[in-house]
Amino acid sequence: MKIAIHPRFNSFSDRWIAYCVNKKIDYKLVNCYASDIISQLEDCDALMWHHNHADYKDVLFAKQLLYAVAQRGKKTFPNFNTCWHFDDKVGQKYLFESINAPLVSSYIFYTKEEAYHWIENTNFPKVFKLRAGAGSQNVKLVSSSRQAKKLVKQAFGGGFTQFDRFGNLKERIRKYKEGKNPLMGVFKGIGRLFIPTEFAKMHCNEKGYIYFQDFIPNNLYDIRVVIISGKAFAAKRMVRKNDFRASGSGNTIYEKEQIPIEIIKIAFQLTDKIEAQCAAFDFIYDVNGNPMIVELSYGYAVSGPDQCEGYWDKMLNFHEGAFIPQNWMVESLL
Amino acid sequence: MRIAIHHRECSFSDRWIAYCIKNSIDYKLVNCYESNIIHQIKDCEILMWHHSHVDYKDALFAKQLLYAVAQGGKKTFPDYNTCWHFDDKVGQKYLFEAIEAPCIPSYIFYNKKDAIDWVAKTNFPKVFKLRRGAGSANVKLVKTAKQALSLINRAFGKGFSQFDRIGYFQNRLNKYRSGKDNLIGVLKGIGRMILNTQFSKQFGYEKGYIYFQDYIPNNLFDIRVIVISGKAFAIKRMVRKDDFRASGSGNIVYEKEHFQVDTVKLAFELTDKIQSQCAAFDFIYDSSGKPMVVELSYGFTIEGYDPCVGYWDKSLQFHEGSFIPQDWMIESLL
Repeated sequence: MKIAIHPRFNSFSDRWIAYCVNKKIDYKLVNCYASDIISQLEDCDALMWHHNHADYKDVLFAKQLLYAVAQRGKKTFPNFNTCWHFDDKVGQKYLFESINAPLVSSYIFYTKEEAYHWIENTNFPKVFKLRAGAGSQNVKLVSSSRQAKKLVKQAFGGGFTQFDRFGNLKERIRKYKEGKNPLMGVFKGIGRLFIPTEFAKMHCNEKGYIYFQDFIPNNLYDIRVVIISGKAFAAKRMVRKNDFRASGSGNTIYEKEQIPIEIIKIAFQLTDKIEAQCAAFDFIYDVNGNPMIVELSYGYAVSGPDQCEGYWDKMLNFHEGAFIPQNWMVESLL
Repeated sequence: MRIAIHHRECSFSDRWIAYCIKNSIDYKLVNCYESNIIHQIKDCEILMWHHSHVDYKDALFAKQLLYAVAQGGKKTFPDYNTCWHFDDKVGQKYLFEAIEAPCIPSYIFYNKKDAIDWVAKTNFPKVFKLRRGAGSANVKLVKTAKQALSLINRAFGKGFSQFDRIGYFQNRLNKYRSGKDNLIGVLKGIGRMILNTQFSKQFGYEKGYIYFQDYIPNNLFDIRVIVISGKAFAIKRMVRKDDFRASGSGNIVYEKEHFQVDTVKLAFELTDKIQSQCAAFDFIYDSSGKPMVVELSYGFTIEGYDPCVGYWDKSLQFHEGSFIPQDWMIESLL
């Protein structure tokens, strides 16, 4: 058994490599961007690549490469079930509805006329999202039908850039004020007003569809549960001040007693249905106190779970102590 | 057993519906573009949708919808193995290499520097392709390094429109000259020089990558073999006059003696490896007469194959007479 790993600094691969070294697992570093990647993999039985939604290259072909490698009979991390819906809220809407998961009600329209018709017959506020984007990027509260129609016009006209420059600056100022980011971060945000990211340069505007979710009021936090091979860990993320968005806020609580056990149970059940190797679910509560899924991702910030007090197994027993989830990913392929 | 069919005129669905009526199979027409599509198919076990690469809406979400429906435990046509690589030559490069199919060497670069380094070391002519486009759209012969460099600059700069207006006009003009199209077609070509297609309006420019294939000289035709549930049929497409591209030329030959049984056998083998429900392979022959795959598609025009004089079964026996391949698609799901 030899594992091919595509290294990317500050991604899961740092720990995959450390684990392989530590456990004397045969591995090889490969470059997925090279045109000859398939021949690089010839002597390997598995490919692991923590591909990134914020790198335009990865978005262009990472999923396709992994699917192709799997059709050769090799194992991959992530595999198809784990990543086809990654960074794609539209795909996730269909997925969650299809497996009868408690998804926050979502609406998708591929023509202007249908979107307008729906706006006339629904109530506001609603939440507008682009299909791609993490950490609450590209997410807006829409408080009136007028505002919604304006977004529809843009969706079927010029479209939206995936990188919201003003949103980015606002977020950087907030983090600076809360002491979570140095002043330099704010200057970077100002710079980004003028210099687009590599991603925005290489990716066309998002358009041709519009996606809304119901707004669920009075949520002061969301709960993120990550499941990897029969183990779960979780964190509670407080919403930003005077905002409704929790993801990416940076205000995170890791204490075990803050996490309702029923949410862990639901996350295990959903992961089984999806057959994902690794799934991070974001939950909020509806007005009746029922947990609802907002979205799903196979990737997450590497160091986040380091502060967790422990993890749950599938029997919902809690195992106190530190753990390295990336090790579980490697083990699941062996 | 109830089948949900998304109907699109002049697509496979015309014949799917006819088959269901004729054979008293329970079916229901659904609209995949509607936000409640998952609810619409609740009482069905199968979803069939001949989604199209030229409709921007389909390109936005058709695959994702089908994957989601499959994860809910229903059968789909096309399924994941059949369509993940549809209209995606980059995905197909990885796929063919991974399953060790005899394919034309192809090269992909995700940054300018790698592409420029390669141009300095390779020889020309090469064939430039965008990852999307059927009927030879977005395919160009590149005769010199200079021409390649100019394409590279564009790929990592402004990008390429998915709709090549001048190429489209030339194609219309050539078809008119050879008596395969009327003057209206030429006028449409002129119109398209001014008015963009809905697809390229919604999809924006292709960029951030560049893809080349080796040029295989002296091919006066290509052979397309379509495999559907253990049956194969084929057509021979002559290249356009003074051109190297066969797909979409409209000059088609059907007689059985035009086809080497080895090529049909290869198509069966590849379909098994890919586990595809329906696969149309385009083959050309290298200088030693060996068949090489150019590309793959699950979709094809319906009428283009009606004149076929028969089909081969998996033991390579030829069955003379007319047949309806769309019937086989349904039968394979029942």
